[in-house]
Amino acid sequence: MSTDQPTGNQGTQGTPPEDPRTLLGAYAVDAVDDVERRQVERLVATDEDAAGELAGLQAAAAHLGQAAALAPPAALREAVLAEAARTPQEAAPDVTDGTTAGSHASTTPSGLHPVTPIMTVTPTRAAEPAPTDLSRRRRSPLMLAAAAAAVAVLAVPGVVAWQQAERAQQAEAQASTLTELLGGAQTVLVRGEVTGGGEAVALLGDRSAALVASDLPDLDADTVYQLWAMRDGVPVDAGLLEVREGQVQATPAEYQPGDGLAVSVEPAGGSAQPTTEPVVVLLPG
Amino acid sequence: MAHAGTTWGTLTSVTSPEAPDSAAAPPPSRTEPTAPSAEDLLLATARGEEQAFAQLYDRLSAGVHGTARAVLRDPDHAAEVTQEVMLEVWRTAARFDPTRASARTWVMTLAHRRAVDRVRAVQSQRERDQRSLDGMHHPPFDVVAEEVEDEMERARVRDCLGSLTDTQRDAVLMAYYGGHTYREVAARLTAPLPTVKSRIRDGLLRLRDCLGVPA
Repeated sequence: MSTDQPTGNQGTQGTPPEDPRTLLGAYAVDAVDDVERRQVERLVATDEDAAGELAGLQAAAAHLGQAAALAPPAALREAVLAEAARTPQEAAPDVTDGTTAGSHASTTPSGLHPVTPIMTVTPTRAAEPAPTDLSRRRRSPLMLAAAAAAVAVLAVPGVVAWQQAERAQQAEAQASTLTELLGGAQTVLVRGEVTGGGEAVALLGDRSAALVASDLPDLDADTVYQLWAMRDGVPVDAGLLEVREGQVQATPAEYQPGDGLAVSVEPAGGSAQPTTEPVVVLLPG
Repeated sequence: MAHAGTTWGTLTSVTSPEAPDSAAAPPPSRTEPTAPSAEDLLLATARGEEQAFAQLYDRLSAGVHGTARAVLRDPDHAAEVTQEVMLEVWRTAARFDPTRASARTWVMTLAHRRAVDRVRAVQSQRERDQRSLDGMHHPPFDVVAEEVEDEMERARVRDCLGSLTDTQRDAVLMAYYGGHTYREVAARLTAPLPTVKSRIRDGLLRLRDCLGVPA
């Protein structure tokens, strides 16, 4: 009964995007993926009817949450109030924090701005430096070089600055995926120059894959790097890439064995399908 | 083989960029008549008034915690998410716009989003699959609330859930309390994706209408 990911991107793959209005209900209960979330946010930013409907759906959903009310542990109250007392507040109502989808940040309806939509669900996370032992592996010189490049990126200390536990856990999971990939007999390493600057290494395994890139040029605020799983020549959305000091690591959940990986520069918030030519395409064979 | 700067291969053309967003007019003002002063507390919180925030905590933390607990099941994670959400409320209170949402909806929407973020971060797909049938059991309605006010809300929501069809109710509850995407819900219910999207949307609309939530 496992759902895994076989239907993961049917709505955005190969066919024209569906009317995001049909997603309003699913959005209101956080049952959409990142791309769909951004589609809905784009819709409600420009469509007053949709924004009004969403406000009602979110209010109804809030009642479901309220119906589950359960007093938190008593000690939490003092902890929260003490923490608040030493936590500075944001001043401006239209502060963009760099994680929300560009211009949507200030136009999302219902004033639901504290939600930073793509932080914890994007496939890209910084990893802890991976204690990867390469010495026992036999690789061709090319593959070894690519692996070394990947590990060098992994080991950059500045990339470890995540504080929240969940992010640390995701980072851990990603590091372990990378370690597994680097050790996997079936793993194919593909390396390519990135148009515009930098280089990328794809590790394509029999179960998972990773993209590691370095020296990527900064993009302006209106555009983002978006990752695609290349499946039979068709790009399948694999989420936005979070660039930290020109470096990227991603372990896309959308990957299926046989896929390649590609990156393109897309408008802020990402696209359901590529709107520009790829800056790098890394294919397994 | 690496194809630096090549094309999309068999994809013959790329789609046009979507039209840039323009600032939308704010939706009509909506406030829930049941919680008139939570808005005042939240607005005062935005001005840095710690007393108001303490009162807001007393008013809303049970809803936040209950939501996190329903989605996450794990008491420690639920408490952490509650703390995270309430601190985010404190930090970002200035973003609250009372013309767009009630304070309760604003906070509860944040709470559910964070709970879902957390459940997706910490639980594997398989665990969530195994858990998903639990969503059918409507856990929040199995127990009696501690506060009379909460119990009245619970009874009201439970009654209104009766105005949904069985399939709508299953889809809404599995998505909301189970923290599942509609694709996961569709897989569990072996129903087509568009059908499940409709069930969730139509079910929430019925719930909205029954509860008298302004929209």
